[in-house]
Amino acid sequence: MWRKVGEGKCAHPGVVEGVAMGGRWDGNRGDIVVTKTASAIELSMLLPSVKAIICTEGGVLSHIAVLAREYGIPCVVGARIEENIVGRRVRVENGSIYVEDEG
Amino acid sequence: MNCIEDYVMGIVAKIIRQRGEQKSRLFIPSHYIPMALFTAADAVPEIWQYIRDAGYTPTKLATIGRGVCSPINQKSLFVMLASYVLGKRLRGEALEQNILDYCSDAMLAYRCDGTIFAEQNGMIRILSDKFVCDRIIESELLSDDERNIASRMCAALRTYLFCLNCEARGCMFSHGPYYCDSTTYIVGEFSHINKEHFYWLSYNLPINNIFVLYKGDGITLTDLGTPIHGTLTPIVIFDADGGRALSIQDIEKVEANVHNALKNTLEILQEFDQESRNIMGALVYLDFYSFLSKISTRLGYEYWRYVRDLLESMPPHKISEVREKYERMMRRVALGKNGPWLTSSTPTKTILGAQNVLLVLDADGTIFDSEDLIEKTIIRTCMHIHSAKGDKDLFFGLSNGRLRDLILLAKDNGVERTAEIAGIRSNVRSELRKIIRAELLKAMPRVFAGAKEAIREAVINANLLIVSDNYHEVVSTWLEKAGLGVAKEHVVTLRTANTHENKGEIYAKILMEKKADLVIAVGNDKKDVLCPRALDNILREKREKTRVINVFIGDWKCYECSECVFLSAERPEDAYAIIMNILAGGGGWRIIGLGDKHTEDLA
Repeated sequence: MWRKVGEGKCAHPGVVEGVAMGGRWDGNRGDIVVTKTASAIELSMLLPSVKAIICTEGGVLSHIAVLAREYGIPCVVGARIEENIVGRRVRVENGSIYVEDEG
Repeated sequence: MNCIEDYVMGIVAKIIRQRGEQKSRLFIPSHYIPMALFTAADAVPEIWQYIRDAGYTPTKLATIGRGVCSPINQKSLFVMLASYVLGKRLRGEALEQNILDYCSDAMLAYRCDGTIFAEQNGMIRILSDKFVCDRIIESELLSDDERNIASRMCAALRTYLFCLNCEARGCMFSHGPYYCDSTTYIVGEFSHINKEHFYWLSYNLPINNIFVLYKGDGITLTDLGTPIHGTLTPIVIFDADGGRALSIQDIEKVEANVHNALKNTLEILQEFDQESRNIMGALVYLDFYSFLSKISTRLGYEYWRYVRDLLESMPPHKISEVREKYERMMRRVALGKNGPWLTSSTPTKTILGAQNVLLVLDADGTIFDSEDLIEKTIIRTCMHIHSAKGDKDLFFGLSNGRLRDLILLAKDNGVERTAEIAGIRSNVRSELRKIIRAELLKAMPRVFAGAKEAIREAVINANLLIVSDNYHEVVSTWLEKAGLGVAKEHVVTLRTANTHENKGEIYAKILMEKKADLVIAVGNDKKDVLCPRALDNILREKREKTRVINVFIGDWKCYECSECVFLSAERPEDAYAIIMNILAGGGGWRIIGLGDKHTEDLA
């Protein structure tokens, strides 16, 4: 059961599902990066292997947005998310963000 | 003159406004654009003098630059003009007509579309349509699958250049559109990707100048200022020096090399966490700090606010710490003393010796059995490598200051099976945690058995342990300076990866079994200190006769319990004083120091 918890600017479209991981790499791992900053250098080594990127800051011309498009990774920037989604199963659908509710 | 000046300032203003959103955390958003221009302004008179001495007319200069991957291009000419105008305007100085005219004439002569600025007609045309058509006709175009690989290579290259140069990069330049058989093409250049430009690399990328033909449907160059940027399809990639089209093998090789170069760059920055990088980005321009309000007033933008807020929110000692680190890093880079792994392109598994990597676990306890996956994972962790005494015959630890999900220990001969995870996640089953810890404890003696005999002896005989992170040689320096009667040959410094969440326990276990009397833990993070309660779990009866002192830098509470008492030190210097007092009281210790990254500041 997917529930919408946020949305942002769609820097690169796509629909993917995966576990959200924190952008500060504090021990969480997963498929979809959720980060505050649109930091190219922080994400640079991970870009080839992540499914999607959600940044709570940034715009569609941010470096990370350009790179996401070039890598073909769905990317949401300037996202407003209503709750903590790190560690949860998340669905990115263009600019919208959903979490999977248990049960 | 006013027309050109206003036009240039209009474009600069537009760039700043467009990019008012977060761009890069290495350099502060937006401010690097005007600051890069402002900094470059200082170089303009010198460039101008050089051009005049060499007798280059605008036409001659433009002729030299015309072509692909030239250092003289529309971007560099515009940057020179914009730098000049912005620099003069910020300083309130008058512009010289002849410089403006020269730049304008050179840009006009460089292009073949009769305009100076891209904004005038949405294009920058330098080459002829025939040039592009000929390249397409004589080349084998990439297949759909290959285009994806090529796109990834371009992304890797762009990532690298973004990380290094941000918006001030001069080695990325796009021009066009060009038309061939009613199809629109854009030429993208990635030029001067060589050791000269990226001086900390000990090798050259195999191909230093690349240009890419992108296919687009009726796009203009100004479309690259929209979300189209990044979506164009590369159909063929050329080595600009030889003019040949790259095979898919070449493209993959370039991508791999770029990743290595990026990895090297990140290694150079390994001392800096993200916050420190932000500060460093600001510090690069800190000398211009006095201009902040001036610029802000003159241009009416708020791009300084972030820098100002950032710097003002930081404790002064943090800023000076970062500044010192930054200066040290630049000195090391300049002297080529970053260590072999920091200046080489050798892949991680080659550094370690793939045969030595016998077991790698991630934070979930998953065993990585694929060499490629190990390599990939190691790269993902933005690798830190520490070697004991710099000798390969002890061990390497691999970790990341923040990821904390992987550590790998490897003996040089590759006969020992030693690996452990560092930051076991709280949600990992406790059984797994116990198994892994037991494995490590079993493995550690074997690791030490392979260590230098002198180190092993010191471990056995030591009766004082200082547990902390890196920069262990500094501990030796402390002791020598303190004149506590500690013979230098008895002072052994061991390195360990700094993500051992439980390294205090691990080393305490080893040492206390050898009858250590006192443990001093120094740190600025929970993983650095020893909770007596946590120690009870592993030390049991030996715990009662071992004294534990924790010195913590900063404000923190114990992660295991709420009963621990720490000697609190506000600054590293205070921690140093506390430790020295302790040592002075005891005297005659033989010491193994596992230094802390902050302890370097104490030396």
